[in-house]
Amino acid sequence: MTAPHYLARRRAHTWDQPRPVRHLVSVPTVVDLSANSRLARERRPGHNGRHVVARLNQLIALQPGWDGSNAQPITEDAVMAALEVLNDIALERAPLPDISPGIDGGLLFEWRRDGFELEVWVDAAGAVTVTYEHGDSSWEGSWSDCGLGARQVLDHLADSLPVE
Amino acid sequence: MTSASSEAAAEIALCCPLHDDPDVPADAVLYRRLPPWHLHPAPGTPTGHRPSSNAFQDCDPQGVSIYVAELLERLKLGASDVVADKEAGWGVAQFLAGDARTAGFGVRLRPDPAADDDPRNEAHGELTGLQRGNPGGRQSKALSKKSLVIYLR
Repeated sequence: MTAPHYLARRRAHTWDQPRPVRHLVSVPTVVDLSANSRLARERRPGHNGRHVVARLNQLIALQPGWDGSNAQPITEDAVMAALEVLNDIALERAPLPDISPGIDGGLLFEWRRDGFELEVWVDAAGAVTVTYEHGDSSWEGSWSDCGLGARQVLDHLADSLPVE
Repeated sequence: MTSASSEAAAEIALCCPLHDDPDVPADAVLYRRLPPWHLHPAPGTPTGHRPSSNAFQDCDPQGVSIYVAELLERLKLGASDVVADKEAGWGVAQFLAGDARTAGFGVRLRPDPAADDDPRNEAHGELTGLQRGNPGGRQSKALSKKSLVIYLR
């Protein structure tokens, strides 16, 4: 297995624990999450977790101007805040989010399914905004104000997923 | 707050000032090139992809770069030429000028001064008036919903 970026190490430690990720930040280093690695024995993300980590690793490797214009690289503050949010939701049950880089160095997570639209926008400074739309219903707010609502939406979407 | 300072604050809240060229009709077809990271699977669409909600944001103080389809055609160019110099995975989103205005953008024609020798440059323009932060995100999201990814490289 190809060694993932240092991000995988942070995530591997914190996947199921709502702990402040910033306390776990260490010197960025490449780690091996293969079956023989110490990290893999300690805690291993599930399928969705591995997918998200792989995607984030792609995005944080983007160089300035990745949009063909003036886009900025993803900031560490954005990544850390995103991991805290992901740590706070039932990621393994929920549908996989579409993840995009923001031009300012932030990250966008989108869940679109059955007319539900949930977006979690993490800006370059790590501030998190949630937006939700379904039919005539919509709301928007910070993660601290709307995180519970977002988790409820994701739980609903998870319940609607076909059983494999 | 004085009127002048209000105007200044409004300018600061914009990534680029709002300029709208009324000569660009509402039904003008516009193209925007999108990097692979702003394209997501969307079964049932022509290319199987949709633009991400934040695909219509740009740090460029001149605006969000676009091309006018009709002007490209006059140059005997098409949507594929918009990303001809990009790697595989880039795509082209199509939308109407009227939809961009509804989303709060202005539309203007403006060749890129840094691309004088680019054969596409006469068809180049910009979406202006992108707001910073969450309001800009809402503008981009509104336009992404009206856009269709019509070409993937």
